[in-house]
Amino acid sequence: MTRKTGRSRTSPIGIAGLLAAFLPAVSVRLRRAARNGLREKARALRLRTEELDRFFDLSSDLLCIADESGRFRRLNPAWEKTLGTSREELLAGRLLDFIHPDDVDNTAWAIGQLTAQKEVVNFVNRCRCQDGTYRWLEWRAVPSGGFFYAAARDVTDREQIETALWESAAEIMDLYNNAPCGYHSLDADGVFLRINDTELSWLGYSRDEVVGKKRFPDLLAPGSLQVFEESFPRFKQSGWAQNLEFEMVRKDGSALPVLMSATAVSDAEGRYVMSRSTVFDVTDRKRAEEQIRLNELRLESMVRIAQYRAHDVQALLDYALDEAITLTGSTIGYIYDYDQDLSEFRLSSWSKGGARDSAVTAPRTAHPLETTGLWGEAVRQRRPIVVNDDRALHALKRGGPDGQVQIRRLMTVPVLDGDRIVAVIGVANKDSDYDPSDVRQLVLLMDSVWRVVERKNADEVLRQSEQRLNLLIQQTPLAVIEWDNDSRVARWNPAAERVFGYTADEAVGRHGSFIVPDGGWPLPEGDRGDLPTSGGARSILENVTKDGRTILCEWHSTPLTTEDGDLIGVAALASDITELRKAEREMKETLEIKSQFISTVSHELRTPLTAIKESIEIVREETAGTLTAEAEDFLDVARRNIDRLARLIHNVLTFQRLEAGNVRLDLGPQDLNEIVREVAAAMNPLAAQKELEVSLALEETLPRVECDRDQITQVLTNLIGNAIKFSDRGRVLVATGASDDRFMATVTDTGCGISQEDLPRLFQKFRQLGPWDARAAGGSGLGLAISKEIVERHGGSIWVESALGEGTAVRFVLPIGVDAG
Amino acid sequence: MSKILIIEDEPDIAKVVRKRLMDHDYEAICAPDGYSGVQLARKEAPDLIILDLMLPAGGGLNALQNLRLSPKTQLTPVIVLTGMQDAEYKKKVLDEGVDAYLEKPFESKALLRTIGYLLKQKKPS
Repeated sequence: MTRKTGRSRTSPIGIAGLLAAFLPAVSVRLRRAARNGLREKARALRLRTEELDRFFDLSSDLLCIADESGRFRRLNPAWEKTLGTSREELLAGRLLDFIHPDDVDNTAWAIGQLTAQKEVVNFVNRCRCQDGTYRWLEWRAVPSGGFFYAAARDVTDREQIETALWESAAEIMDLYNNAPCGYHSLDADGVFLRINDTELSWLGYSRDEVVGKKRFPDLLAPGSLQVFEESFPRFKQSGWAQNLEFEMVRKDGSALPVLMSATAVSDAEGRYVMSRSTVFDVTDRKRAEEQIRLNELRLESMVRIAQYRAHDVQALLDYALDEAITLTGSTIGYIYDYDQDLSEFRLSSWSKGGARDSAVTAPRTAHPLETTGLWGEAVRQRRPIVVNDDRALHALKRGGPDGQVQIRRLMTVPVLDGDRIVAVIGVANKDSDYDPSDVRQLVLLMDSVWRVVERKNADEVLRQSEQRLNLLIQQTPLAVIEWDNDSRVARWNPAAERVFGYTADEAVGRHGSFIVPDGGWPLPEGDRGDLPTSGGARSILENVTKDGRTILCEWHSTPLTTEDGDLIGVAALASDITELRKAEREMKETLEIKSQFISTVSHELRTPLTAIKESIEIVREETAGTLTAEAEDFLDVARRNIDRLARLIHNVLTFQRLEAGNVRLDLGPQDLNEIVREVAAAMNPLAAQKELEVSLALEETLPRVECDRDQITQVLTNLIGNAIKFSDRGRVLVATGASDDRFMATVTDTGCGISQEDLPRLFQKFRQLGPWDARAAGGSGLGLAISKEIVERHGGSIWVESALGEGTAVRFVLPIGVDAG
Repeated sequence: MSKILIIEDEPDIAKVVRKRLMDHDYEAICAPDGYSGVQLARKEAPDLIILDLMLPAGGGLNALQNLRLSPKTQLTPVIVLTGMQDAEYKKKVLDEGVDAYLEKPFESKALLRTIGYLLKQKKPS
């Protein structure tokens, strides 16, 4: 800010003073001289003039007389002293020639004033020095008789100080108004006396609206009024206040948190005049503090959640939801599980707020993603959604849990497990808008919650599996015993109590020898000389029970090793096989007796049969041609039935031997077609008797089949024999074939067939089916059973395809490279 | 006339076999047990022996072993005629060296054919 020259102002010393000091005295003396005679007058006048000249010359002010054109007529030496310009040079020029160009106009105006017979006082301009610099001069001038009488004082120093003062005052004003903090002053009533631009801009008011019109408390939020009422009187007394926190209210109603310090300005008597207050906008600090507070809250929440002793995940989620609602300043909320594979939500937890809020409590039904409204958005967009706008809320609202609850603001966040969305959480109806820090808080909170949930789920799975394992161990009929490394009982289940008679209390801690008969310890098995430690060791041991019985137990033992391979004990399963062994032994004995019995009986039957058969034959031959036809016929009946009995005995013995496993397979590569031809040839006479034909359909290039020739011959004999036996007309077809690694033979007849319900019983022992029996076909009922036994021993299979009245096909397959069992 | 020894404890079996042999012009002698069978074989040196296996006094296998040990009977053809079907026993008997193995009840034609065949084999030596 620059100062204009040429303005008037009062000054204690100036031309007015000079004139006051000299001019009245001059006129008094002139009047006195006139009265005392001219000569005297002239002498006196000269003396006075000399006196005046002395003063004129002595003056440190610049005195001059100029004419109306502005030319100097007379100058005192102070001019030359002050400006450095010679008297002659000054007298040669005009006043205006020495004036600063910026001041020329003003100076011309001042000269105009004088010309108009007006005094000029306190006129300031700049006059050029010899060295080109300027000096500030303050003028007083009067016009008189066509001349101007002027006195100028060098006020350069004063002007410079004043300029500096002005400049610094302006600077201070500038600082005051534009400081980054607010300044204001309040009078004793708290009314604004001053306020700087910065504070005004914060508040949104103009200076005129505030100064002299508003009290400071008028601009405070209700919560800050008490602070003011308490602190202002104290401040007026003590003269200072520091770091008071106020919440001011802007003109637009928003809050402005400030921090204020003030000193009081007092008068000489120490009475309060006004305050000088400094105001800092602490919005950012408040925000940061709020953030820190929220972070601390979240941290506390997380700690609480981590430490929360929930019985189940549900309780934990309910708890987490409450925390989330509190943390975000919301009033209601929900958590939905989300199944990404099914794109389905399931309500998992919802706020249990007031009755009004509880309208959300929908049952735990599935909501497909596509039917969900706003709360599905977080999944669809895979990011947090914040809606602070009623109308936007309305547009997105559709289905789901919104229910009848009035939602004003909503924030919903997807909970991620890696890349998968596993849940969404939503909170609603915060008092103010949800902002990014709310989102951050919620995301961070749920992140940690989910980790806890995962852990709890894993714990729960583990707990359940342990529970199941325990139940299994408690309820299994097998004795489960765990030995420690000193061969002492570490675990003893109820079945172990049943087997050995000792309760768990009695058994745990005892050395394993207590269930082993005297001298039986250390056990013969085991790497460590006492308990078996190698994997899955099975042993049968004699054990002794609490009541002294000796029992036989089957043990399965497995070493228990940690992941590091350290042996921590041995787990053993034991079952009492005493009874089983006894039963097995008895069964074996029974089977042996039966086998022996069949063998003996068969043999004992054969001998008389042989005698009878031969005797009949001899009789027949001896009496040939001498007997009646009827007698011959009955001899035939006898002979046929002897054959039948012989076959029966043969088959019973064969089957018994097969069943007892007494027949070894005599394997060798055989040409099955050749065996079929042999058997067919052998059976042809039988077929011929019934006027049947045995025809063959053999695959020419058949690989040799690894089998027992005699046994396969028997199978084919049985099958072809049956086919002949049960057919009255038509033919019996024997076909062979091979595919990949299997040989197949089929014996087809055109006989009476077999009903579906009889098919399954076909291969049972001593089984002949209805119509077959009616035929009195003369079989033992063992043929198919024997055939099945033989085929299966070869690793093959046999089956029948038939329908009543449509004939029967019996097929069997054999592996070509036999894997006999 | 070829002489055939029948070692058979069942008199009825021995009787019908003997009848068959005599009808076909063989001389038939009988022994009711293993021991006497072996004795008779040594004494009579039959051309062929029909041997039952289930015999008192030593059993058929024992009798067979004794027959094979004695120089007189070492090479005599032996036809086993038995109702026994014990596979292991049969294998032992076969290992001992018999010329034919027929099961009871036998076909008299098959028996006579086998006898005829074995005697014909024997003759050139």
